[in-house]
Amino acid sequence: MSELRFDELRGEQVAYAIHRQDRTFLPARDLCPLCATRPGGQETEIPFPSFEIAVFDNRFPAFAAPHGAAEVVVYTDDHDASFATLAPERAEALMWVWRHRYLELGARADVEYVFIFENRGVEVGVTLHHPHGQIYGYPFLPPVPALELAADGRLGGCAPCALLADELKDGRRVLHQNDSVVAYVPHAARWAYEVHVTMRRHRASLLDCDPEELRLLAEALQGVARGYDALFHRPFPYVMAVHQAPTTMPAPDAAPPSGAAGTATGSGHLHVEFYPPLRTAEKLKYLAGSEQGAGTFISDVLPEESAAELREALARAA
Amino acid sequence: MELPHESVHAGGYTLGGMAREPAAPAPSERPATDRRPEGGEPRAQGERCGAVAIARHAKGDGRALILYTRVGERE
Repeated sequence: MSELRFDELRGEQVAYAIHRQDRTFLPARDLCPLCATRPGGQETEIPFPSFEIAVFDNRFPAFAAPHGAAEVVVYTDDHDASFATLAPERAEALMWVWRHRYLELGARADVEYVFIFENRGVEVGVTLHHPHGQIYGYPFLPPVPALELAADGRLGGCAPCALLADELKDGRRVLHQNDSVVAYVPHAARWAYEVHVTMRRHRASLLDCDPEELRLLAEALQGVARGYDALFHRPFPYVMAVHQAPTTMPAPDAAPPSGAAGTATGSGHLHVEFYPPLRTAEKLKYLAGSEQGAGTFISDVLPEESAAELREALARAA
Repeated sequence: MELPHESVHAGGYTLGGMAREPAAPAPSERPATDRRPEGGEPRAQGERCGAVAIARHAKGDGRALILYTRVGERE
């Protein structure tokens, strides 16, 4: 199974999951392990002739009980679909599935952070084309959510709430908004077409959302994904990362200071971040010297300019 | 920088204290309840989460498989 080693120099965990080296890699369509099992055919991961949404323990897990979890979330039995092309009702149901997995995995003592994500496209390392996402239950708080909690402390309140207020006030990078959700290219986007989809009201996790908020979240996420596909008239690769509150109570001395009146502290704020590696229709952004060696992104596109392009693409795709 | 929002939590997030409760059984520790029907979609067994019905299964190698079916009703 996996082994965790702590990199003292960087202050972060590294997971070694050497069994994943032999995982299924871009199989032929008729050997897709995420399709339904055809009558008389070879059994797939889902031994039923049809299904709506399926979740199962990853056969090649990066984390597994009693030291975390790794699950696969198959969005549909339609091999050729994508998150963007799911029927709205299916996308809404997927929000409930995410919510259920967050609840169940988050209740486990060996899971400190539930991370729901989708890798789309070979450009970001996809090994199976069938539309699916994944869920990792980390047995520790990973660096990115830890940074977000640190931002809460630095800003004296919920950072995503504050940043969303700034984006709405500025307006130039806002792509889409409804009663519950706002999609925008962030002020300091690292990727050329990075988008954040943030709940308007402070919702620490999917568990805090009412049914209408879940529906509107699904609508906004699909709107972004469709806009991406419309941008360059091609399937648009991305990493979709759902950020929510950690599921383990922080130690009392780790809690950030109380913020301004009416603000939550250190609780996380549900938002979804898209990291697309394309910087043009045919050019990828690589993480090279500055990004890897110094930790500083060098971007070729101003967020205001990419937001204008994406707004147009979202409108075309609507 | 403005910090206007509706706060629903005043401290660390606990999911209603769930992290303090005993851990749910790991998927591989759950009872094997293979309810695989013959030649059709799995039937919901009464467990629900909002708009989806939940049917739990165990794969041959012990891994958990959960099928979710939209039921259109909400919590």
